[in-house]
Amino acid sequence: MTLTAQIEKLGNPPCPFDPKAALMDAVSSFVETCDVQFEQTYELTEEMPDLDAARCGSSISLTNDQGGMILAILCDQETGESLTRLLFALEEDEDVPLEDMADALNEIVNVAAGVFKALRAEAGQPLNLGLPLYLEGGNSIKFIRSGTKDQSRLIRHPDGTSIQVHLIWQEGTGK
Amino acid sequence: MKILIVDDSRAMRRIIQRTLRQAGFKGHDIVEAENGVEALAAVKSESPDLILSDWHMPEMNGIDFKRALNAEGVDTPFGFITSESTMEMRNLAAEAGADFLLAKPFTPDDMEQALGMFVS
Repeated sequence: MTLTAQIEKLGNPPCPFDPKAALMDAVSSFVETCDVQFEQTYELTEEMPDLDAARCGSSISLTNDQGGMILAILCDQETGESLTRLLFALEEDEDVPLEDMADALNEIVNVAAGVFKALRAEAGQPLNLGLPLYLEGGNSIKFIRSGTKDQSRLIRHPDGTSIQVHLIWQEGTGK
Repeated sequence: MKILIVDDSRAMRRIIQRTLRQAGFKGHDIVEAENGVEALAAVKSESPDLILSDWHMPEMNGIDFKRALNAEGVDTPFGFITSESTMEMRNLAAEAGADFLLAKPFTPDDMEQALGMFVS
C-alpha cells in the first residue's frame, strides 16, 4: 500500500482526539522502543524537525471505527544507516543494503506502534494496527505536507543523530 | 536444543537471537522462518524443541500457525513474541495453547522470565 492509500484509508473521524497528547505518546513510544529493544538512548529536544533533511523513514497506520492516524519516523541517510547497522550488527564500513534499512526502520516503527497503541487505549482511543511502510526519498516524505495535518517532534541520540517523530491525520480531525 | 524463530522481519529475528544470548540462552541451534507457512514446513523438517513466533505476518499469521500445529498434533512449547499484547490477543493465545506471550519491546530479563522453564 502506498502512503497515499494509507492516508486515504484514514477517512474523517468524527471522534476527536487530542493531537498533542497523542504526539507525546508517540514520542514516548519511540524513546521506550529505542531504549528497551535497541539499547539506544534518545531524548526529546525542543528543536523543530526539518522535513527537508529527511531522506528515509517508515510509517504505520492506526485506525478505528471513527478513523485514525499515521505514525511515522523520518531521519537522514546517516541515521538510517546507523540504526540498520545496529540492528543487523553490521560493521561500520559495511554497506547497508536498502532492503535491510527498510526492514530495520519498519521494525522500529512496528514495535513503537505497539507501545503507542497501548498508550492510546489507556487514553480512551483504541486503535487497530496496520503494517509498516518504508518511506524512501523526498517525494513520499514531502507528501506528508499535502492534504494532511502533521505534528512532529525531534528526538536526539547522544552521538548527535536524530529521529523525527510524526503524527499525521486528515484535515478536519483532531481537536 | 533447537529453537525456531518465526518473524517476517529479519531485523527482529536477529534481535531475538541476540537477546536470547544476552539472557544466557547460548549455544542453541536456531532455525528461522518468515511466516506461518514456512514455519509449518520448518517444524516438519527440523523438529524444533521450542517455537517463538510473531503474531502479524503475511501468508499465515502466528495464531493460525499455532492452530495449524494443534490440528497436526504438534505440542512443541510455543511462545508469541509480538508488538501487540491486548487482553484479546492474550486470551486467543491461551485458548490456542500457547505457553506465553512476550510483548515487544523486551529486555533480556523479560526473555529469561518467559523462556526460563523451556530453555536450559
